[in-house]
Amino acid sequence: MFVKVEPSGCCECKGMVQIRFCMYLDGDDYGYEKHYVQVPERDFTETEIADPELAAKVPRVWQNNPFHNHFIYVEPDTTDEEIMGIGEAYLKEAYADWASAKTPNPQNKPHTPPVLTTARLEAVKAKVQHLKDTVLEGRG
Amino acid sequence: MAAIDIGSGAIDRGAATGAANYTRIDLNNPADGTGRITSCELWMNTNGTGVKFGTFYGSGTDYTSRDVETIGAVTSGSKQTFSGLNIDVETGDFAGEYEATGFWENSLAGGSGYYGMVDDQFGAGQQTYTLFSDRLISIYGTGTTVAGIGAQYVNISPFGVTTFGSKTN
Repeated sequence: MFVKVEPSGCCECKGMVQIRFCMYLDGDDYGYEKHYVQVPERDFTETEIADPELAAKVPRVWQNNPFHNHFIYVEPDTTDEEIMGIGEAYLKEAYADWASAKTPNPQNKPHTPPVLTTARLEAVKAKVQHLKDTVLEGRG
Repeated sequence: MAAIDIGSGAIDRGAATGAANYTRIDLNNPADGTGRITSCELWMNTNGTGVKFGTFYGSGTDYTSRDVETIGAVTSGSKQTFSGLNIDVETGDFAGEYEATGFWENSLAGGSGYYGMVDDQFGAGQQTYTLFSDRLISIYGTGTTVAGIGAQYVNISPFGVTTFGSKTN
């Protein structure tokens, strides 16, 4: 199994850097077939929305969906290496639940939200932009 | 602490919502406690982008968003689960969603309906919505009744792995 930072789920949230991890299964992992699915290759047209038989004719493509997603909130000076260390640890925890037929539900530790100064906001935004521009992946 | 849940339930339904760039407020299964929503489950009919999940309060046709988290892109075709959220919720609140693109798994009958409005209404204050009666939409949240609403839950791990999985009081 492997984990990726999903850029679209990264943003500033209550003064912290929000990071979304998408966790994926490899072909020989437990339950791979549950999230390796066929989906429409494009959005439906208005005509297809109104006619399910027509919608069913839209070509399908295979897609490997995440088996779980987890959010963390970190300081803007957290390094990419630290972030992926956290992601890989959560991946192992989530997969242990998944392989036991449980819905993964890892928990974060509590933290008091910081004071959101202009300088802090700029630092958070810069880190978020870096995460959107960088491919971060790890393995379990 | 007690468990809270909110929303219709994220399952593979018989139809799809027919519009994107839309905010929907799910009247099915209002929140049964005050605290935080920490996880959600979503099932989309087509791949979605710009997805948000949160809570709304109000009555009649007028609703206001209480809290929201940016989810991002959501893949369709299977139930997607998300943990680590920190969404304020109070008893009687409704689950809500917004998507920039993509359609949701949707049932046209058998539910309490949902209210809808074009564009992202999270953070927009009180708005007047249109009722889509009897419907259910595949969104769902769970959480706990915890004192100190607004306390941020983060992971601070300077060198990688610390202890995970421990819940707060």
